[in-house]
Amino acid sequence: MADPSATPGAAAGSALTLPEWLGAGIGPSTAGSASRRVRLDFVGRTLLGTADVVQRVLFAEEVARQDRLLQRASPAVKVVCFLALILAAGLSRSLPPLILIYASCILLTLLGGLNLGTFLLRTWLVVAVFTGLVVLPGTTSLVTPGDPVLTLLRFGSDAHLGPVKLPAEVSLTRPGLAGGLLVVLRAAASVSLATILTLTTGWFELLRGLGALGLPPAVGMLLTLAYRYIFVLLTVVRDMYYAWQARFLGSTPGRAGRLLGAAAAYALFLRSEALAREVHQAMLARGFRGRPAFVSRPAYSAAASGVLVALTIAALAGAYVWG
Amino acid sequence: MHIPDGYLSPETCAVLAAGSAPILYVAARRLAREADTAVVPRVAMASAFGFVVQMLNVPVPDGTSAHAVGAALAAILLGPWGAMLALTVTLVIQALFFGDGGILALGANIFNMGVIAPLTAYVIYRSLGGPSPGRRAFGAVAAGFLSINAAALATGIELGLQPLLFRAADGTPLYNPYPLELAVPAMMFAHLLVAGPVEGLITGLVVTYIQRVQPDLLARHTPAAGSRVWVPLALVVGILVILTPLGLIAGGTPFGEWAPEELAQLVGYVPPGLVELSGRWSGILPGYTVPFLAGIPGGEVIGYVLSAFTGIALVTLAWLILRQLLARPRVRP
Repeated sequence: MADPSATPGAAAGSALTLPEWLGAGIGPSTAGSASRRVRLDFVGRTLLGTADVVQRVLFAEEVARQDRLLQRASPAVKVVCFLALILAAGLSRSLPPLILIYASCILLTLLGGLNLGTFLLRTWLVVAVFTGLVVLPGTTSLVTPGDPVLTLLRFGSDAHLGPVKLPAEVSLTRPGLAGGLLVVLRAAASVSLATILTLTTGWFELLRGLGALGLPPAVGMLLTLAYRYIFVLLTVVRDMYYAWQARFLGSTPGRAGRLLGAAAAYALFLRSEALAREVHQAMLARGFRGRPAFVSRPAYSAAASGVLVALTIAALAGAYVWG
Repeated sequence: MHIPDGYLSPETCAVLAAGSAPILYVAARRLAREADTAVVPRVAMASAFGFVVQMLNVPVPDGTSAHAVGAALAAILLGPWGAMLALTVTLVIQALFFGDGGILALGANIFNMGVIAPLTAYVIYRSLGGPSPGRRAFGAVAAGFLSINAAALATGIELGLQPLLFRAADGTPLYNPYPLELAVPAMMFAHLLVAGPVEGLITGLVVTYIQRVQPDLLARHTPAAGSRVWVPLALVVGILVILTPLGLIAGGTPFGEWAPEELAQLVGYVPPGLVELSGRWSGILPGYTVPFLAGIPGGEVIGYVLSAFTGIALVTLAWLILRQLLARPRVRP
């Protein structure tokens, strides 16, 4: 969901620029004979998974560094505004307020400098696959009875499938469609808001915002450390699987592949424990006594924060009035 | 199994988050006692491990490859409290940064995958796994299989409750449209037949491997005999509290609990004694409802859970008072 949707090359002057080979989609070669497919499958899927995580994060950091209105707003204000809109979408019980909240998502997308076409394509793809397909059977008379809008199948009054009696007809119903549309639009609004927030706010800024809202510093530090060391462990996994791919010759190694997975999990666990000890010693060496301290605090634009607050209040007021 | 936003009402998410919070608080306190300042890096690295272990694909017998959720593996390697915290942090990062699971639904996802799954896994592993390598492998497979299915069952129940509790005036379902009789089988079918066996297989493989190369890793989280025997009871009671709103599904009034008006409809008259006595005391939370929550969406659900907490608190208080009174040493004159 946090897939990149920024205009390529929009981060002029950014300290971090994504190399073209990463954006073009990397991963191990999956070409090969049928007998090698299983080996390439599990190694390839793991390597593609790790590359995908890194790719998403780098794109998100690149978008977060753009000099747009949404990126200039205070992260605390941004977190409050986005959470309020997500909560409003969750509490909405009719279509008009959801349409209004979704319209504000579109506006926020533009304020964050995201490419609208790509953003819509990616968010709706997620919504269509994870919500639309799931909700679809719920719009029929099989799940939600009510006034039929469109008849899909007619079985007749005495139709049976083996011992199971079939309904006379299966149709799309008015309450089914209304409920399905509510769920899909609510999911689209929530997914869009979460994506805009995470794309336009770097991880550390997001935690700074949550910290300003009362997140205990220790929890913030915990999340920061976990987030940072995910990439260290991803590198460990990537190296192990590349080494396996480089060294292994032969036919389909189902059992050997399972053994590799078990060994990789074991090695990963040992590495995480060793890292915990090293990080703790490093923290103690720097004077850590249980209270984390964050250093730099970049300046945020009060005007940008004000615009975001005004937009949020307008959307919430409109949703309340129309709801 | 990560529930996205839109399927669960905010009220359900709030109740499940409230149910997870005390368990996670206990977990954090216990781990802080063990590790002091080292607790933060330990849980952070365990969370990073929990995140990355989900990316390890292994070949499965049908010729494709799959990865585990890792709740059972985390519970076996980190212990129940460490696993709960690590998986919770992992779920927070997945929701906040990777969009895996909704932000409002985070409480529900933590309850299912961060609390229920590792707890089930640990209890099963401790119960079925023994000192021998074979028993340990069996315990790990069972823990993997059952933990993911327990989480799936909880998810199915939460989703299935939505159309029963949250509908518009015209009957339109406001959140997940599938009732319990569809949501639970749909969740369980996929997890019993595919996800559960995969989770069991991978957990068993890793535990067998560790048993062979470094068995002391598996002996770390063995609780001392007789320690914290109240924990399973507290967890079972906690889960029952969360499930109390199921009572809203039941229609009608239980036998012998009729209000005077209902009795009048049933038998045609109301005995005078009942009329006199029935109005004298209506209770602090009449009908398991909280007066100030009346009319709020989901107020009935919250009322049930608050009533359960209040009841348990009162019973515990009464028991503590009795224990103090009865256990006081007698002083002879």
